Amino acid sequence: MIIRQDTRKRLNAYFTLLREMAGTEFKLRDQGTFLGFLWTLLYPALMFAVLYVVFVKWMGHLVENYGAYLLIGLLFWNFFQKSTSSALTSLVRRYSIIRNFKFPREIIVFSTVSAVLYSFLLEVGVLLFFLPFIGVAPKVSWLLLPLLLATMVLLSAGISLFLPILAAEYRDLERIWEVLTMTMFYITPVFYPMSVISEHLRPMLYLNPVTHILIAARGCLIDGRIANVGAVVSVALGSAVLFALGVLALRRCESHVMDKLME
Amino acid sequence: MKIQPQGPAIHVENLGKRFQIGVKQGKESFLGTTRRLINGSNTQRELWALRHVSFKVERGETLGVIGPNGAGKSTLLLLLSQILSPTEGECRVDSKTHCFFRIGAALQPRLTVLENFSLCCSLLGLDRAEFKKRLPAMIEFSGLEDYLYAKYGELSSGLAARLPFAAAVFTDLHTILVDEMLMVGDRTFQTKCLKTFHDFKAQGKTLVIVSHSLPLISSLCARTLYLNAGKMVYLGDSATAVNMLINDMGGALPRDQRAPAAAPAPREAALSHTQIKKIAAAAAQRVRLELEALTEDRRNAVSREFTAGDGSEGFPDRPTRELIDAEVRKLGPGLRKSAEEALAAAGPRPPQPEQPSLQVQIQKSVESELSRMRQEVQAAMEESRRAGERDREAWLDSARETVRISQKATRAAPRGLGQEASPEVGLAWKEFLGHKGPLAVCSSVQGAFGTALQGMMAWPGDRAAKPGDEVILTSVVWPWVLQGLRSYGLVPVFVDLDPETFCLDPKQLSQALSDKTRAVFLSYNGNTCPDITAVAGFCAKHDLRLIEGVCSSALGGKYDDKFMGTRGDFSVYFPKKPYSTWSLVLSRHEEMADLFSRILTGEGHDEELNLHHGAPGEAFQPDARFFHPSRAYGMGLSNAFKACGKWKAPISKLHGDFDAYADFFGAYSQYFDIPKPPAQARLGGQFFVLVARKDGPFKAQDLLDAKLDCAAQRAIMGGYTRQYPEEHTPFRQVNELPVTGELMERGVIFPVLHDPAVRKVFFDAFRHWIKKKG
Repeated sequence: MIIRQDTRKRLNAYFTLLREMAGTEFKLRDQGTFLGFLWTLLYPALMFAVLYVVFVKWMGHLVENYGAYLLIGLLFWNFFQKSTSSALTSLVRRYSIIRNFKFPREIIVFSTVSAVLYSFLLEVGVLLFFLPFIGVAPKVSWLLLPLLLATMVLLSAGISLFLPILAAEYRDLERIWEVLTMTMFYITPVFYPMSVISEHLRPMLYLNPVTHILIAARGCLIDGRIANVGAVVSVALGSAVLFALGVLALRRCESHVMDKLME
Repeated sequence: MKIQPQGPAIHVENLGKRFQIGVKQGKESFLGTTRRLINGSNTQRELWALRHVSFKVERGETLGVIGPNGAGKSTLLLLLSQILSPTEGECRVDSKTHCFFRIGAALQPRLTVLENFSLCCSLLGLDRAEFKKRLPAMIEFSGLEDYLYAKYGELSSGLAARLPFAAAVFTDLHTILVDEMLMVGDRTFQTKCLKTFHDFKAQGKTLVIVSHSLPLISSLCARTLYLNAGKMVYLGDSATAVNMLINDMGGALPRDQRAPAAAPAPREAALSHTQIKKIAAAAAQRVRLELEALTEDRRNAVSREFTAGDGSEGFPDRPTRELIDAEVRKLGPGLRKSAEEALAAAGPRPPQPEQPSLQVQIQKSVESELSRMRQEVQAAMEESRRAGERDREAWLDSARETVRISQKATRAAPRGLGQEASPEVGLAWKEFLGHKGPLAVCSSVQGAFGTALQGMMAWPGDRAAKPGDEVILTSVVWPWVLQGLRSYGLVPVFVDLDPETFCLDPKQLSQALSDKTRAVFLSYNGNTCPDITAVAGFCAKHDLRLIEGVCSSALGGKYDDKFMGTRGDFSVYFPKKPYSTWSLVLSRHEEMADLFSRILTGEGHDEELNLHHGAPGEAFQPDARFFHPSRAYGMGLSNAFKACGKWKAPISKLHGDFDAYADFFGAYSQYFDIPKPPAQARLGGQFFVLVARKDGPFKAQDLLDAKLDCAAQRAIMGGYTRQYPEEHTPFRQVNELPVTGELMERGVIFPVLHDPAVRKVFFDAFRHWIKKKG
């Protein structure tokens, strides 16, 4: 009984800290900019506008309701890209805190991911609100969306846990990751359907776990059914394993990372 | 969560931590690593920040850690808090503890104070519910009630430091690691912090304190660990450890320098004078700390009594303060005696070390002076180019003339002025001023003033000043005067200026007098002086000390044919460049020679003094990160100083300039008031004050805006007594100080140009400006 109480107390403190750190991260990010947190919505909107204008003529024939297709792809992709790249620099950015406080280091990573997640959820909310206006009627399958979001978060967080460890070791990783995510953007069906890719190249794209989540999300929101359930479940399980490994790795390498940061 | 009753809280065995220190580039890149792996070249070297360290800290014990910078103190704390892991050895700390040291690191300047409180506490492991419960107490302790929704970055550094400390106090920390936390905050808050540490000890918490403040260490910790260059030099009794550190630093080494790796000197070696001085300063400091803690307690006790008796919440200000002051006075003599004992224990002053021959010194100074002069010619030519529409030839001529005069000046100036501090500097000044009594050279004016105040407090007989006593002065003083008084617990009593002389009005002295008055501080504001005979007479009549503050603006001025600053019991001189870079303190009384020499050696190494003359750790720092707003000559005067530096003349020639300025500006008496000093005064100095007449057409701002070649500055800035609440720094004033207010509003100050040719250019420009405006 006493032990359980102690654990609850510690869990409480853990989540309080997570909430505080995520809150700080979120508040600081858009503070001082003129449009404040509207930027979080403006960025994907602008990107959507550009891609839509450029590709609607070509892709519009291949995909039914290209607008919705592109929006969903962009929001999910942006979340993945932003959360991983901000997690990558998180330990360096929060160096002064980790140098002076002892607490589970994964909270730093979680807090950056949470801050991005917060705007992601806002974006998804806006998306769901607008979908009926661009010709996608609400469907029962939308209820499955939280599960897909959770898979997405688990995958991003899992990868995000490893990145700062590697980044402390190799400062070059920040640049490398920029290039890498840019490349991944083009080999993930964000703004094109799989059908434009030739048959023999497709398996390569299927190696990318984000591809499966995107396909499932579109199925869930637009078509009303998820065709690739098996793939998504395996991605989810893989992400969970990655996540657990990530937490272990970060705790294990914690002092090594600290040494590297102090150098 | 209870503290387990048995077993050491901290157990460290053969602890070592190695870092890779970059030899050329700091951070190894991916390519760098690859290259290193391929060709085996190594751009890094290893450094053992800490090695072979073993000790135990029992529960409830307080351990001090001292050592020069780079000794491994911070590394030790990082290892103890398990943020770093050891390279070798073992470091066990009770796992249920939380540790803190630099909590301020987590704070976000762009968030509000309240948000920062919550962030800080969550980092210290407090959950939301607990935080809400403890927040009111935390806020009360920090005294930040009024700033909760202010951005944290907007607080002054003193206030800002209170937040993390308050947060740390109210989270359950069992083992507490402290890294230089007490170095900020004002005296009241510091006393609170000290008291908190004592409470922690009483509650059985384990403390490890890293500090450069040796008195703090010796008063708080029974045992102290002395680290040097990563090695454990000594562990045991605090006094011994502190003495060993002082011994190893050897006086000559600057504070921030790494101690040499050589083996420590044998302990039996006789202590040098510098070391004795440091020990004495440390002892005196400790006594002062004790005194503070004690008086604070007393103060609290008295205020409690008073509140209880009255039944009302806030208590009237005056009577309480008198009560408190009475209590404080009761405590005074005993503790002062122990301070004197500590000083006496430091022993007599040994002979002065040898100096390089005077010949060599003079040679050196002439050489450096000449090279400076060459630079000045260039600078002057540059300036003349920039002057543009001005008559170029006239400017060039005047620049050449300037250099010629300053060359003469160097030859005519008393030997030693403007040179390295050495006994010769003191001798030269003594000779120049015709001063017979003791004189000491300090590297800062704060040090000089602090020495004078110590002299006042060590005054023989019952007229010695003690905390709570009063000093009469005008509110037109430099910030360090008020800070210095505050540091020694003395209360300033402000009197107004005389509208004729712009200096302290002797007629008001009797109004300001009380049975607590111990001294009059006389500053010669703006190149003028009051009726010094009257002031000195008043002091003699009431057995008060007279302290003179002689700045550049009174330099070279005489009264009754004696230099300013030679009449007071103590004088603080702080001539600016080019006359000297050092400050002086002098006294008329031979008895003070011993005290001076004990406090100051005249060797120029009085870094210690700057730190130890003040309140603990505060070292006369302003409260705000910006300039201290006082009614002093303040911000913006550096330009004027620069202007003075360009046109320099022997000090003995300075006093003629006042008359030239007085004659010139006297012709515009319908527009401006100028100081009318007593007939006995022949004034020197580097500034001239001009006050726009109330009924005249000009305002001070017009003068400031005028594009004259020699820019005017505002005479008095800020408004100390108006901006600061009384509880911050206690003070008294005899009236609303109307003349000071007027001067503050309408006065400007001109740097005095000593070269007649250059002066003529300025006067012509001023005449032209007046004609155009009038």
